[in-house]
Amino acid sequence: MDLTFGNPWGFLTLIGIPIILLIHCLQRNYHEIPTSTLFLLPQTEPPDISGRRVTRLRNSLNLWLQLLIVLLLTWLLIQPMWLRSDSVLKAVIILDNSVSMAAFKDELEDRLNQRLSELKNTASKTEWILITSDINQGTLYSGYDLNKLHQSLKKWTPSQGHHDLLPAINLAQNMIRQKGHIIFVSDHKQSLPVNIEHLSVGYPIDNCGFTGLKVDRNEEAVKWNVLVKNYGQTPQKRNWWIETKNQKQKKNTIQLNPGESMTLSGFFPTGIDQFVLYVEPDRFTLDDRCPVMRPKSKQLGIKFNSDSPLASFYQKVLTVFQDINPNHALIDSDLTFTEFQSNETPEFIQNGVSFLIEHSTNTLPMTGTIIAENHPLMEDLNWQSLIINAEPLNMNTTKNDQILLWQGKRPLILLRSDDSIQRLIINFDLHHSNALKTPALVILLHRFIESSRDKKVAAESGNYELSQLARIACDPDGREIIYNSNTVDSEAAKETAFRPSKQTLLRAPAYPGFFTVKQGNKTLLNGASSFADVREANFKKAVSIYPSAEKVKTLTIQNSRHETLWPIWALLILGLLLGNYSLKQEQKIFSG
Amino acid sequence: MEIIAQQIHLPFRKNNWQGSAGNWMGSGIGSSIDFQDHRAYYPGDDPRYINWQIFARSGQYTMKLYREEVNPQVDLVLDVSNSMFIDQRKTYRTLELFYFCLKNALQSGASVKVYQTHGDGWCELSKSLILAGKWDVTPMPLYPDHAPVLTEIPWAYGSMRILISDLLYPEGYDNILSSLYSAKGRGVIFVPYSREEATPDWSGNVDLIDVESSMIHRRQVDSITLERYKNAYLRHFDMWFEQCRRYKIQIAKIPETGEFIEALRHEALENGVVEVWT
Repeated sequence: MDLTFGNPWGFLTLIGIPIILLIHCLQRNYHEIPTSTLFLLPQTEPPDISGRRVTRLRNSLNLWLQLLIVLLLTWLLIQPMWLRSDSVLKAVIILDNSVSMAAFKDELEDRLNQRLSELKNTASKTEWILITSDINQGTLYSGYDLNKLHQSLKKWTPSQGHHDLLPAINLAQNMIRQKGHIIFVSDHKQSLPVNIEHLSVGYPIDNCGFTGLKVDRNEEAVKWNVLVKNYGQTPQKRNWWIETKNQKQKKNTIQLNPGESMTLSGFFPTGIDQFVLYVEPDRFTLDDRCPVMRPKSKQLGIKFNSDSPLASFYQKVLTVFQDINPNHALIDSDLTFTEFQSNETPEFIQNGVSFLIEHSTNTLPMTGTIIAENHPLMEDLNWQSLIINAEPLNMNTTKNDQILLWQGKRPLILLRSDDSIQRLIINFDLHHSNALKTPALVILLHRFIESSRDKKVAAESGNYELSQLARIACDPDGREIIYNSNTVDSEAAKETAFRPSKQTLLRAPAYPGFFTVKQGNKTLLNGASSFADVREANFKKAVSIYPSAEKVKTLTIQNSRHETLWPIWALLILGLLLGNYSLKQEQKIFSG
Repeated sequence: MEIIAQQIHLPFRKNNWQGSAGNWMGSGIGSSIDFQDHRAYYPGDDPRYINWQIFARSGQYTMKLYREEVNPQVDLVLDVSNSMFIDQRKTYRTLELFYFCLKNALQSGASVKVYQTHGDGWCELSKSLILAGKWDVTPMPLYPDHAPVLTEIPWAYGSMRILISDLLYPEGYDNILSSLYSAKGRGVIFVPYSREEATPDWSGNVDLIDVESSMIHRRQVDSITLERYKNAYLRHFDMWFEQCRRYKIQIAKIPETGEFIEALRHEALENGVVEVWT
């Protein structure tokens, strides 16, 4: 049965013991006592006490009474408690999964271990549950072994940017069901519910690093632009350099005032598809490296009839979009732009866009309210300026049709799709409208083409932020997807395999590095992940908070059995005090 | 005190006294009604005591002898050393004993002489002054810390010799006891004592002031020292009682606490130092 103390300060009462001993060692005043029986006393030499204030300890009943009083008083004041053998504490530790936590991870482990060791003594048995603020990450550890929890803590790497903590808090509260204890561990001050203990380990550091990457392409070259920022309170002078696979370029120096940002830029060297930018490392290392990948989109081939009345429009629009190969002679195209007459049914044999051609002579604008349906393709597009000079035309729609834009009862734009084909149908003549001057139409076409590009199973390259979602088009019936990633500092690659689906969502690595997604031998994506979260890189508000000992005391009290004999001890102390007092009085009376 | 004296008296019964005619059994032949013996008539005998019945039977003059009744002689000695008056209670008890003995002896018709002694000095006291309450301790001469020297006191032959003393002397009991025993005297000792003498609570640093010599003795008294003292106290009085038995002197310790009559009824009554009226 573990003994704990509700008030350890009560041990200070033990100071009374040396004080009492000292008092009893002090030379006492000599009391004059008249006597007639001096001759009966043993004849000894009178003590030599001249000038001595301290003498040897004299054994007396008073001494023992007083020592006993001090011991009993100490016992009462320290409030002894015995942990109940059946007491169990359920403690849920939520680790803030923000990447900024990486800067103080070592200190955090020490402080958290210290705190957990304190909590361990508040009950006979403690069930530990270690989770992160990313509820999708699952439980890092669950069990009764604190050492195993420490090991899980060591393995944990924070991987998220700024994110919502509430789901994890709700999860933890559901776990303990108002009976356990929750510790939220972070490096910043957080607004937490009152029943959650906040442990924070952090302090402002002069962080300086990359905050974003942009790669511009034109026909001649590919230009990279990287933003470097000093988040600290003091000017920073840092070296930066570029490393390719086989080469390390010479170092350059930048100087940044507090809060200042600077753009570094350059062109991709010929024959180099990827490199890493480095800035002189500091405590927060995630933003000290910036992997850069030469971007490469999937090429889309779009076929259209050069004799089409809209051919010039196609040519004009499609050349604006990047990585498009508009060609009327394509044999194996990804999209087709075709036209249909009002009395025809638009073709539905390949992905693409069908435009209505009308030979109407009516020049009156169509009436009716223009209404856009809620669809990703139509999001935030303004069609109200669209004027169509045509007769209302009812179109036979099928169950595969999704109307995107109405005017009155006439569907103007609709999306016809089945499992493999998706076709955008423009159900009005562009030449009899002002659509060619309406930005919404171009944007709609761009969105449609890009969505088609996303669905194309082909290789592409790109730059991603840490843990950014990447949508991968793959063959759902093909071989499994191999996800291969490695950090910039390590050659060791991490490979994960999973089942393919039509469109697979993957996350870029949580650390700066390169990654590759393949299906069989076919490369689907080459990517680079770099840090770009300015909120996580800013440590101005990092602060250390250590929970008070009050909670430990409260938990201990909750799980303990208290001393029930205290009234007896109190009465005993009272009795001893009275006994000591009366003894003293007797001695005084006798001493005269 | 007179009331007490009506209940308890000095041990006059246990001896045959000499003195003028009185109420107590004398050592010789007297004129009391208590028949003692017969003897032959000698010329000069009082013819009133001839047993005429024997003369009628035998023709011989035979005398009837009766017990003598006398008033005993009492020599009362009060030790006036400082230890007898060390505190109020012991002082009261000492004076109670002193007046009890004096009153009781006088009530019994005894011829009483009163002395005080201190060290090697002594003097006779006036009974009238004592009874008048005008008595005070007379200043005594040299060597006050000595045991009383009683040999100089003019003891009456065959008298009852009462000593009231706490006997707190390191030595000198032979001198005292032989004086009480000499010249067919019968010694009686009343020993007033206080609890503080028997079981003191001295502890730690004390300056013990000798009440006789006024000398200060600085001591550190612990429990062992105190225990030795108590044993020495017991041994001291064991020796006095042993010596008293040897000299056939009756002795009793009279506690200073409690009612006087109760104090007498314990050890004093048991040891025959006082007797109850019957």
